[in-house]
Amino acid sequence: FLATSSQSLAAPNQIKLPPETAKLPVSDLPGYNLATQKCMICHSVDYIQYQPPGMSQAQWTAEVAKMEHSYGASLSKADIKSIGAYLAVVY
Amino acid sequence: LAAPLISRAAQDTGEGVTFAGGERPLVQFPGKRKLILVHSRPPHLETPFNTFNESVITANDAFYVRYHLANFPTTIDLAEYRLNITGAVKKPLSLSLDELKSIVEQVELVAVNQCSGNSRGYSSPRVFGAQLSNGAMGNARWTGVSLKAVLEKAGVLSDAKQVVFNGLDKPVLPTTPDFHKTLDIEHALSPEPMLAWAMNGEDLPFLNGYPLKLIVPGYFGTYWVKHLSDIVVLDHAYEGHDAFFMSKAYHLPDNDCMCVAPGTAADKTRPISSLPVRSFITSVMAGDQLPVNRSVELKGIAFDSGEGLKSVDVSVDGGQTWKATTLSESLGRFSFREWKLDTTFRQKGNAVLMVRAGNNKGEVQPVKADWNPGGYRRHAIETTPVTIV
Ligand code: HEC
Repeated sequence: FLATSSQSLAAPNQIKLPPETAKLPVSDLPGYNLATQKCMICHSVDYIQYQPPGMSQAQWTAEVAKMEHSYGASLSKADIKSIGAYLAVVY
Repeated sequence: LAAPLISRAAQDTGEGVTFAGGERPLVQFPGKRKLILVHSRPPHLETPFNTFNESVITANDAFYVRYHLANFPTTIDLAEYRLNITGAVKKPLSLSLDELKSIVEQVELVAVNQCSGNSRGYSSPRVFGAQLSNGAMGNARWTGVSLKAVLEKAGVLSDAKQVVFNGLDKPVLPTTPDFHKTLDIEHALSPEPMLAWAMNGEDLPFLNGYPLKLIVPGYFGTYWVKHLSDIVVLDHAYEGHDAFFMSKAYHLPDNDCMCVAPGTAADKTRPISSLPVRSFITSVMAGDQLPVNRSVELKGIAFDSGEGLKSVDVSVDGGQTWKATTLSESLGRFSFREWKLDTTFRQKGNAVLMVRAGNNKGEVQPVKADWNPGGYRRHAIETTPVTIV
């Protein structure tokens, strides 16, 4: 393409993002299946794995609850408890 | 002649920060060299810290990337792109990029963009959020137009109170708030804010907001809306669901230190705003070995919200004594400023390097980091442990 052509004649600017590879750690806890269904809807799960290590179950549960009350994730009270318990064990 | 470093600590993508699921990899995204992965969808990439030793201007392909919402376009066609200016204005505008470029005079400015959560990984106690080391910042020469000049073309009505900025990124679900930011009308009509299409003489990198980005010199990066598409002038304060990223998120305790006792909540909060004075050593990384009895050139950067740097001092004895560094030529009051100091270590063993900046408003970096629940606005004196051999 001509470098001198005016911007409005240029081809659209297009990018291709690399594939997403992060996965949640497998577990027998009921929160694992739930998290697999619920936590990749709005963003990749590397959001979760790169949080600080050693956060408590209460802290993880509050973080999951934030997804519901601040960001509108569809999660019941029981879902929040179960996912919080799973994340506190695997991380 | 200054001696070269004897060794450099192995590349550590955590740079001293720990993570629940192990180390963050280096990844390659469009228009970028290998950067540290913070998360992939939407992209969030951190600049490896040794990049800041290359130049006071951060290269476009090294500049950090931060999105909040995963539903953003990966194709942008300038034939269709418009910037809309609506609301409490005499004449609403809908401009192509070419029209924007010709409507008012072009301006240029060098300014630091620092993420509100830069260095959050060092919060103690730790807090949720992106666990950034110190690489969520960058300094670039921005080319564009003054926001004030463009707003004046639209004719701001006298009862205007706030201006809302929106970009082409959207939430995945409608229940998630959109990413909207506001500036008070006085700030929007001040000389500083810009609408920029170029960064360091080239089109904006796609992931930094192509084709147009709001530049708010001296303010944290959260205000620098990417893929800017809508500017709405309001005759009232912005409220409601999509005001979330102004009304709830990116808040600091509403007191003088903008801090609370570690681990506690704040009764009252307010939106984050301007950059505190900050400085870094860039020529030496934690764990490096430096030679004894030879002159070593220490080098780094300092910046503030535009008040102007007054002093940048370095200590090589853990803060007991301080020496004034030499500041290089200024690229403007909103830019990184390079500092240098030649020093000779007289004793082998462990040493702790520190750098401390102060500005014309009398602000000086504190020795001890204060704390806030969001892990924002870290600006304490940095310490770099080294070994003299
Ligand atoms: C309806 C949307 C939605 C769903 C579903 C969702 N999140 Fe989020 N999440 C968000 C948004 C929006 C952010 C903030 C993004 C940003 O600022 O980068 C976020 C951020 C995060 C963060 C980063 C820390 C923070 O507070 O910003 C973590 C951790 C996280 N989510 C965990 C989860 C987990 C665990 C689940 C599943 C139980 C989940 N999310 C489901 C929308 C969602």
